[in-house]
Amino acid sequence: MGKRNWTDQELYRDILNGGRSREAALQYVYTGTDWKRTLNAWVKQGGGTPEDAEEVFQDSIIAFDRSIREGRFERKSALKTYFLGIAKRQWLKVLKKSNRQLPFGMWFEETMEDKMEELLYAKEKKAVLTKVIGMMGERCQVLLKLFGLDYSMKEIAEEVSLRDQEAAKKEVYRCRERLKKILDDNQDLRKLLE
Amino acid sequence: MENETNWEERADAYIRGKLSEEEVIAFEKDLDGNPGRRESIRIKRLEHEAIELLIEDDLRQKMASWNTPQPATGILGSSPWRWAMGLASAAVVLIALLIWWQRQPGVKPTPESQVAEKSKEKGNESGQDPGDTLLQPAPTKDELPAIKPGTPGSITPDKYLAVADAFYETPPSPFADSKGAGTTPPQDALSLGIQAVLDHRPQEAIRLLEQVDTAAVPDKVRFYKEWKAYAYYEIGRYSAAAALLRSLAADKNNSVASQDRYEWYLLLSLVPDYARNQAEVKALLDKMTDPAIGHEYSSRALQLKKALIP
Repeated sequence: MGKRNWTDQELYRDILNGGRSREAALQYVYTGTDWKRTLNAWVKQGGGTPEDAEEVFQDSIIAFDRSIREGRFERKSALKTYFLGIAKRQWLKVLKKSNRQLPFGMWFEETMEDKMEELLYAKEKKAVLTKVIGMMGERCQVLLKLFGLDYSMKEIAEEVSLRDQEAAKKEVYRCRERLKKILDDNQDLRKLLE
Repeated sequence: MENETNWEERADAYIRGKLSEEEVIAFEKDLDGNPGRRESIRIKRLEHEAIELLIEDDLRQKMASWNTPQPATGILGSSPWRWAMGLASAAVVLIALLIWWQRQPGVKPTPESQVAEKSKEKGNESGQDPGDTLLQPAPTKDELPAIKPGTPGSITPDKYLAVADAFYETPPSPFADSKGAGTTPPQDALSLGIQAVLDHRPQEAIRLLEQVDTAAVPDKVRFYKEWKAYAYYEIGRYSAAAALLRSLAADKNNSVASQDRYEWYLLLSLVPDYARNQAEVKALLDKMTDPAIGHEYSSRALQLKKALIP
């Protein structure tokens, strides 16, 4: 991971900018912070298992990553506070899903503007999207993922061994068009997604 | 009106939350009077959602690898050094097994070993970790290959994983007996998920199994849990695999044979993190090797015990 400690500013910047630096930042969040320990304590207090805690932690990182990349984090709090706000909601979802009671004394901020649950897909929607993605080739999936993560065309060319950034640009364009066509041609799938 | 290329770029930025508040207002105002562009935005949103799912899947895989201290199971990684280490370790164990095998007088395969051979063939087709072939042919209940135990205290955390991997065989498909040859297997999420586990596509298996509406098929929840556990094992989420199998093993409604199987795989899911799970591993091994119990996997458990506790 290189660095020993990251500041909030560095984490925020590297996740927001996407590309290669994002992965190192998220790995630090996952393995180098004490956020998981705090979350584990909550989950344990609420009668959850270590597996519940791991599920909540991973779902929260996914929502946290996307939330920052899409500019939803307004930088009004520390990153840990923001992350734990997301995690609380994820934990509430797990409790609801398994018909378990919210532990006494545990409250959830209702004022949080983000609807975190929307950042993680509903099962049905995920199934349809998985089907759509399955219609793309594996190479296109990689290219689109890199594009979605704001890799520069030069970086994309390096990652998938293309001649240069122009070639990467063309391939990404072709893959995007292909995805659009799949969505356009499959109105039934679209109805399920909208 | 701005040209199409500029609009496309701005639309992408709009969908991906990269525009300022003022830019968003201006962009949406422009959309109001333009149904064609509104439709383009709808498609772009779906495209964005699909791409985000790819990103989510990728991040889940990465977290699984960050979670695993040593990628010994089929994920030797890109480093040539890791490759060399992996191959060297596999070669050493393979030689030990070959020597053992040559010394055995005519081992006859039992039905259990035939099943194992079948599942191994599948694993080899899909380019599995060379370590997976170490138990070929699979052990009979009474004559089992020994994992060289080494000297007391010599087993490192990586070796525990290697030991678990050497004993680990994905069970045969539960559909194999009920369906005749040539019958199309069921296409529901559970069946497809199980098939994905058998085909060594664990990430896809987990995704498919998570689509199973367990409330609608309560009689199949045990399959859902069991096969999800196998998929978790393959991606290195040993504690998650163990949790599922533990709950299955504790359910007294299951048949004795199933419970024995759940306990065996629970045991194997605990071994990679032996330092933490030592007490539970020991308790399970004691139970499974107790002759009074007549556990289905007693012989294997005995071999595993020897490998773990020299």
